[in-house]
Amino acid sequence: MNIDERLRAALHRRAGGIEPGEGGWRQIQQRVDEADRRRRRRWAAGATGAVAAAVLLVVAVASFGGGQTVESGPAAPPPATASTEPPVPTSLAPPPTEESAHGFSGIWPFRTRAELSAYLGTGASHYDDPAEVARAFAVEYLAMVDPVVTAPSGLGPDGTFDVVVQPRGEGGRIIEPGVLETTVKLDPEGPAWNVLNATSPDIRLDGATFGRAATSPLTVSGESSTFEGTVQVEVRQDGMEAGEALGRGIVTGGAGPGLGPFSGQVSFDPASTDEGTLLLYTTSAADGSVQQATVVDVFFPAQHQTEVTVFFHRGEELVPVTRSVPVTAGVLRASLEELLAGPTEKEQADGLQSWFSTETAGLLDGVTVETGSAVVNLGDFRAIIPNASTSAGSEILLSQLNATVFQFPTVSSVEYRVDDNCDAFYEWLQRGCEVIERPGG
Amino acid sequence: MASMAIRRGTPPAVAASVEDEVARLHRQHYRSLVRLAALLLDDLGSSEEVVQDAFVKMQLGWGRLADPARAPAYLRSVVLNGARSTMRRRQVRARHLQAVPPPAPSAEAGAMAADDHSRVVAALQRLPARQREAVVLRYYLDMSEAEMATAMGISSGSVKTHLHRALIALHETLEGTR
Repeated sequence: MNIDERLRAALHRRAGGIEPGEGGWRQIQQRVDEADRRRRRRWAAGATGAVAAAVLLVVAVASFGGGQTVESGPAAPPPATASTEPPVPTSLAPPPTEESAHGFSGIWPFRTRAELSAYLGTGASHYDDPAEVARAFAVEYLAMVDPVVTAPSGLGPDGTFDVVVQPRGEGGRIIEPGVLETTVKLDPEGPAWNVLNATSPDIRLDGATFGRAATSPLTVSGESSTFEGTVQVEVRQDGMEAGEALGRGIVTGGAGPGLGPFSGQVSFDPASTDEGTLLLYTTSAADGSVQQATVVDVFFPAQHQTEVTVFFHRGEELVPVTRSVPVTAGVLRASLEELLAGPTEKEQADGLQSWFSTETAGLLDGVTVETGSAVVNLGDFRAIIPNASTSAGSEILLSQLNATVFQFPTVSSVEYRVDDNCDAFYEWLQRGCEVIERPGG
Repeated sequence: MASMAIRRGTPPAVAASVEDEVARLHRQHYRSLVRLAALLLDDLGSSEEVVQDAFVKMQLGWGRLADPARAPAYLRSVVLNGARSTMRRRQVRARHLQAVPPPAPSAEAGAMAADDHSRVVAALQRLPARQREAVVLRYYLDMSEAEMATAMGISSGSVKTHLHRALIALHETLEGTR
């Protein structure tokens, strides 16, 4: 037998004796879920500036859109204009921190960018019609029965669409405009539409329309005008649809004709997801179906934080900077995610420099540590910071990465990759692939 | 009732369609990819880890896959990269420990020392990572040089060099121990 035949036979025989263990698929899905959660969290923390601007825009547009909708109905209550309703400090946990501005602002059908990407990747067209998406949202998420859907009211300045849904009256008749209306705001995501929020002019909630922190017990306040003053409150986590909730409560506001204030608390179970929604709605006395609703996006802040250190440059000096992260995250991963998000504006003003910035935030694809050997896999940011490929630039980039990685004494070596390829990372820096060992180790 | 273009259960079904596709690929390729990784790594645990990594990446980046028909090739490339990095880390660790064991001839290999197959596999284990990869792709997956070049991310000329050196080393080892 020649060498070729011997190699073939030996390799096939060897391979044939290898059987993977059970549970591989389950482990893959667990890791996908974990990665998805991390990405969402990171996207949020990284894109602070842009998202904060988007928050303001959406708040403004939501208010503006509410005014428009109200004006379209002759029997509507007095319009609430943006100019008379600045965001009110709410009794919900105030959201001025990075964490409040979570990155993906839709609530249905896509809760995460990964879900959206997955859907777009299929080339499907289920969600290409905003009126149909609004109708499906009203039925699936709000539990309305056969709602009447108006044509989209028009493109807002930020590209969003408002679609008004209404319940039917007795015998399925269409009720007059302006009564029991819920405006569903949709955001275009490529060819698909995603619901951003829903607002009823009869149930106005204090505070931002998305990105607010919710901790139990949750205090909700606002103004309403509903039958007997009753407003149902629900807190849901991602993945819950109509009929499911972490917690429920009732608040009492105005019974009409004008708006009257409401305030109350709802306790809810601990969430197993990072985000969810707060719903306020009224139901039909006849059949219990939902008639109108205001729905906003919330996030569930991590209960415990821990501190990690990242390193940036001031001149030629490496400067440690402390960051607070959820304890659930691996500390090495959390540190690198913070490093990749770059210095804050204040730190930049304070002279701290880095190649990393909000543009590179969220580009950490994975970190593993196996008996002291770390592998840090990054998304491809070569086009984002091309100048780092100079020798001085690469020194700065590597020294910030290395200082951040080797702050943990359990890490004895580290390998960096781009898209899982060590050569790609170092070719970009005009070096050869190497595993960096702990200095002095 | 007006016809509903979107019905209950659509969102999970849509989210599941990528998962379904990845699940199908998993059923078709998981075992063979684990075997491929194991030929490079000699260790089932690490091999499964590397292959699972590849599936996780693919599922998360499904939207970025230009051509889903190329998913198996993509998986194989990620597995090869992962296996190569694992081998590299082991080499570093070995230097750290100053243990320099001839890369892990397993207990099984020892017990079957008389077996020619085992001798070949043991000889393979002594090859540098790239050479070993070239041999596995050539003789286990029956790839052409062009296919190997694509999978390994190097030129055809480099493939030839790695394979040539590997065969010389294997010949010397095997003939010397025969």
